[in-house]
Amino acid sequence: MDPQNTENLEIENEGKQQEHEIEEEEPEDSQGQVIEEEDEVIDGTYQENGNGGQEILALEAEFRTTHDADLARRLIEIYRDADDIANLRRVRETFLEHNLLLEGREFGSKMRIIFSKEDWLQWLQDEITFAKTDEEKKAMLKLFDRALEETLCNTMNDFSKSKLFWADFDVAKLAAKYVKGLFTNGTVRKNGVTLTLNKLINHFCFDFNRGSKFFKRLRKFELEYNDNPNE
Amino acid sequence: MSKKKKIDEINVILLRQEKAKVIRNLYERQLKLPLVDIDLTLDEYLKWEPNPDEKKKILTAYNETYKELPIHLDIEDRFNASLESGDIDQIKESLGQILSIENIKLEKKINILERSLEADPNSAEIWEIYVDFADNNIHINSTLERIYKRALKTISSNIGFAIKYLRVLEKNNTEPEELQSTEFMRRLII
Repeated sequence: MDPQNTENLEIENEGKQQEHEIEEEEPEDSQGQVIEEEDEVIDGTYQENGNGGQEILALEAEFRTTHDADLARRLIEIYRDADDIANLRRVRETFLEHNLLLEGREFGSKMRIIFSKEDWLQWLQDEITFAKTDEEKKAMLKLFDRALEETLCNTMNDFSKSKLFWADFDVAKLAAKYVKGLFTNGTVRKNGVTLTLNKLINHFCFDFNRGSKFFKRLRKFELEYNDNPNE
Repeated sequence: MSKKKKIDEINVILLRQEKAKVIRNLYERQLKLPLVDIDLTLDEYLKWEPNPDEKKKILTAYNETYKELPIHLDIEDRFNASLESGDIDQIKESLGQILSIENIKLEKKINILERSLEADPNSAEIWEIYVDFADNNIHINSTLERIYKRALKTISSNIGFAIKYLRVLEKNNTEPEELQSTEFMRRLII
């Protein structure tokens, strides 16, 4: 898989966007997957890719001891190249569990980042690619929930239910596109889409520049699905 | 017209009203929030809405929100300027000013804190401000737990965060086994 996949999601910084145009939905294919540029197909073993079994074992052993982020990312790249989803999940779960910085640091200095938004976007994109059955596709929505809870930034809401959410906007956009795709191919019902979009509204509605985004998306969906009741 | 046909027609009308209500509610929720494109949302709504009574009701809500807009524009200008500077002292100063404003919602203040972290997720200084703000303004233990946990995940060396986290876990009746199950808690214990 192309390690730059996440850049192909056409995720732009819409936080600064202040236009009110009806947004264009990114295309989805009939499987409910977000269409992206064709992946480079790597159909080889670890050895063929220059990553011998011994080297992987050594990396794994070191990762088990240090939980180092750079090592985690190296292993992730190796397993992505081999389309090895089981090992990808294991390394990512471990990485996520151990995403510590040993010390705080000065604002803006270049220090290794924790399990980042980019790591999440890559994980989600990989799982989207691997999710083939309806069950697996529905399970993706839970992974999106996890990603939205874990990723930093943006707004939150819903104190009334004793919950505090924070979410990354790019992860949220991907979630919205994905669930709409699942609806289009019949994997989820209308309620599944409205539930997800309402959740995203709650995540972002206090964000001055981006707060309208998911309101518009949900209205558009309701109008498309119901026909315009005022026409 | 047969009775059945009449009932069918009534059902169609009721269904259309129900669908219109869903759309209207979405406009109303959005127009109650001071967001950058509130005027355009209102224009869009007025074009869509055929019912004059509903228009009047939502216009009232819009007018209330509109009154809050200047303060939000000021907050955004101040906050964005500090972020663009990249200077932590300026960011801290603008955060201090914004967080002390009384007549804006708690959620808005959290949004500003989260956006500061978006600019630099691992800043110990911003996390300290965030945790301090949470201590004084958020009174829901499960919410505090999640904030402390995030802060501690990022700045694991901060013993103050660790103590706050342990205290809130205690209040939330967390089982000791569960407490020790995460790697960063094991490190703390060591």
